[in-house]
Amino acid sequence: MSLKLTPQRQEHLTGIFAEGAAGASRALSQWLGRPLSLAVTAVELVPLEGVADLLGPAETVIAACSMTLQGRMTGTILLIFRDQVGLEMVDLLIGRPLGTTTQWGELEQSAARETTNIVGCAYLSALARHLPELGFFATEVDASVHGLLPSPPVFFHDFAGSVIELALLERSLELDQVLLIETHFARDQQPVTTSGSEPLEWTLLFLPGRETLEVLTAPGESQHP
Amino acid sequence: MLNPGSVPSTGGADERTVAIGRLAVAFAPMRLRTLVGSCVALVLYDRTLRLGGIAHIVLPDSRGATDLPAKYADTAVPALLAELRRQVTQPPALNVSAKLIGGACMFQSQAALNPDLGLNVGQRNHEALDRILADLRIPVVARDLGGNAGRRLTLDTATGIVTIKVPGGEDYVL
Amino acid sequence: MKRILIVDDALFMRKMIGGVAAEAGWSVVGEAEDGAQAVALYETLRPDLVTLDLVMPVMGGLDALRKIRALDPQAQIVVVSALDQKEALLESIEGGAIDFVVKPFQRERVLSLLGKLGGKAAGA
Repeated sequence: MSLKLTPQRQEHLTGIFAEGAAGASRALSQWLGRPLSLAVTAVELVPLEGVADLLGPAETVIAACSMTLQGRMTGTILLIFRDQVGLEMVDLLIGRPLGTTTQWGELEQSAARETTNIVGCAYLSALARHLPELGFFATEVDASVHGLLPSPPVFFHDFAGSVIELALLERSLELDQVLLIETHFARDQQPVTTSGSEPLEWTLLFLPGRETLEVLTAPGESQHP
Repeated sequence: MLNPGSVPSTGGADERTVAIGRLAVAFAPMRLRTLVGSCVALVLYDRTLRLGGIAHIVLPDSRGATDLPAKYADTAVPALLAELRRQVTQPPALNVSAKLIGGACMFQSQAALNPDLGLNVGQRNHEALDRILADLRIPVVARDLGGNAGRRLTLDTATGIVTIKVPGGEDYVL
Repeated sequence: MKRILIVDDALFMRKMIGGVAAEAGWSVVGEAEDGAQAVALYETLRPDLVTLDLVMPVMGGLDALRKIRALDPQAQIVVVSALDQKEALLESIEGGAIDFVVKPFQRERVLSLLGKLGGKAAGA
């Protein structure tokens, strides 16, 4: 299966997913009590052989949480932070001095999972309003919440390339391309620490499942029934 | 757009990286490396020729697909063997043994949430490879499979030794 | 002191809600990390109030909500979820939840809600 994304469709999707990202950004800012802004959104088809390096060098150890979507729209949402950034997030949430947390224990992992739950759900809720525009017909919306119901987040502390395989591809391995919808968050201008470490940076990826990928890459601008 | 068969190197001069769904072969002293999560790396090595190869296998069954032979267990084994044979211009004939690495799974506890997925794909890859290699009488001399974390592996074609690294762990050899 | 059961799959969130509940004058008598545990704990503990997450493993919050209300039609349950969607809200209210708090929540909002629901006012 070889899919194509027309420039018009790409622009249209970018606009809609930017709203999802804005929703996620608001939720994350409120959750952390710090302003975070939306930096970049990419919407592109990536060949399978390129995906291992999507999150940077495949052998970088990263922290990440994934949520799987069932219902009208299928796919996987992944919130990724570099190891140090993730641990600083935990410090922020617990109210400890930055740099205190050095290991991913149970409480730390659960803080990362809850953060992903909050960010992922906000992203989905913002997208939910645009499902007909995305090509998901409103008539399919029965009165069920199961339209955009995510699974509980799963925590990873692994090589970036393995996270891609384990979290994102496991549900769309038959595909030779993936549709990457990527959002970067950055704290407004300033690094989060004074110790010279990296600024707080986040990446939110959405990789649609097979059927959803076909709907999203369908050439129509919008497909009302 | 996507070339079947071996892949251009992305590593250093004496090291090549095998991408997802691809394969590569090399003589000593070249090293081959790849990184697997749920996928399974099939390593074939001929000790006499000091020739080895890796296929990065994604799924057990090609169901007729031919564009990426290394992606599927059933097509990857013959494709990797053919690529190895292509390197050998004169006797002795190819005499390889196999090592299997990878097949991790994060979702065992969630299998019930996702019945379409079946049990885990890593295990199905592993089972398919065992069957195919047994049919071809290729001995599997080592395995490092399952678990819930990824593995980086490097094949040293000079020795056939596979060095494995897991996140946060010490290197070990297979 | 009135008794509260906190249901959330994230330990971090249970601690957070537990802290607010204690401040509002509630006694945290139990914590559950999935819907099935929540139903079982409700049956044995019979708390005065439950805070219930929706997205959880094993059994989600909406199923747990219905099961708990079937056990005890008077059960007082507040849904606390990041799932800010109309359908989630409607199903929660139809299932018998008395309120719906969206995560991330303002600490004061939950503090005042738990106070109103009988924490300090009716407490020791």
